[in-house]
Amino acid sequence: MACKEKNKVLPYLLGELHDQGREPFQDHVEMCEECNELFKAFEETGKLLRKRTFRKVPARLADNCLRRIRMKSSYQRKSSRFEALLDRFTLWPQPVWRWALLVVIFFGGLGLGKILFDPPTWFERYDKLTSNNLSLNDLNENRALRNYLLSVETLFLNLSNMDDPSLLDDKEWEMEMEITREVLHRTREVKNHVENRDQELYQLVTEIEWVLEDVIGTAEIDLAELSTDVRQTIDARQILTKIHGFIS
Amino acid sequence: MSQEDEKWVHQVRKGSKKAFDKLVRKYAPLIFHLLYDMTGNYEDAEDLTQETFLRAFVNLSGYRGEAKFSTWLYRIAYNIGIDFRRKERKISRVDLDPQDEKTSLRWFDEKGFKGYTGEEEAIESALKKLTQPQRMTVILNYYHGFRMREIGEILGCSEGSVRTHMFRALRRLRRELRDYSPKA
Repeated sequence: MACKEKNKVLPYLLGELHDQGREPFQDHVEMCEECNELFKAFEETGKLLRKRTFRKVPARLADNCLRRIRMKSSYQRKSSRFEALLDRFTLWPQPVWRWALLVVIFFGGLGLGKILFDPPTWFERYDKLTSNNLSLNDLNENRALRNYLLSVETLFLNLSNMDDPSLLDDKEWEMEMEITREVLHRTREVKNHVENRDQELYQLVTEIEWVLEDVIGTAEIDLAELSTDVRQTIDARQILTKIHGFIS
Repeated sequence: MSQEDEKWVHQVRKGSKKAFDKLVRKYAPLIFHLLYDMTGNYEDAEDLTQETFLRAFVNLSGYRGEAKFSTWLYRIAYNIGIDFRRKERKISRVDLDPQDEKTSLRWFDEKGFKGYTGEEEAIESALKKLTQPQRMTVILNYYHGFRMREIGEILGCSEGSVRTHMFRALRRLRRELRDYSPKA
């Protein structure tokens, strides 16, 4: 028959039986054959278990643990170095401000990167071609337009004031036509750019384009009449007056 | 001992590296033995010991002192050991014979019981035959000195369950070791 006190054998053996219950149970174990047998069996098993030997701990086990922790914590320190720097700014004690600052720096950096590394716009390219003494950083749209219109004005004055273009030698004439073609090319770029932006300027540039196309067409047919034709066309359209209106 | 641990933990929280060094040097061998008992592999046990202290260091701010530091640390080690065994079992089921659970556990199989006496070999063999909770209960009580309540905290079960595991474990061990006497 199973003893009701049997479940106390283990706590008694492990020293976890309360002080008040310990002595009465000790008496019980001496009297009860079943509990006594179980207690002795467990006690002997425990003694055997304590004879177990352990493998040697690896050399420098603790040092290796600490080294791994330091590697990890130094990595964390590096990643939080910027936050530590921000901690010094007492004006921005809240983390939300830190993130706001990071966002501003990020977008500011993007803007600066765009200014520094983006390829130049057509205005910048144009200005670079026509004004070698200007640095790219100084350029703006108005300046590029002004330079373009000045170059058109100079070209038109040159063409209309020629006494007799047929007297120019081939090399001189070729250079003049080269400039004309270059200005026509720029004119088309300007036209594309100002379309849907400035109707008045768009109209002027379109007229300039027609004149330049006329110049190139007339030059191929009748060189002697070029100056007269150019002058008449420019005068009829009052192009130089309009150009002055823009650049003044 | 426990008060000493709490003092070191307090110092670690204040930024003392020396205090954490002391905790590591005190517990590293014990944690290694526990993980060696769980994995049965020397190199794995060493690696998991490092992992245990790393995790303890990272989560130290979460230790509120409700349990003893040693219990908290052992629970981390136990969970790491269990996770490792689960992964090992998955890998082994793919790579090795899926039917052979003992092979998948690599439980003392790699190097056998070389160097053990007959009695030591019998103890190892008897421990091997226990279920995982029974074995851990015996190991944590006899070799690491934890009480039943603390073992429950480490294993994540009730004190009553731990007592049952212990009772059954001792009964099984007695049967396995009946040919051996502690006096011999």
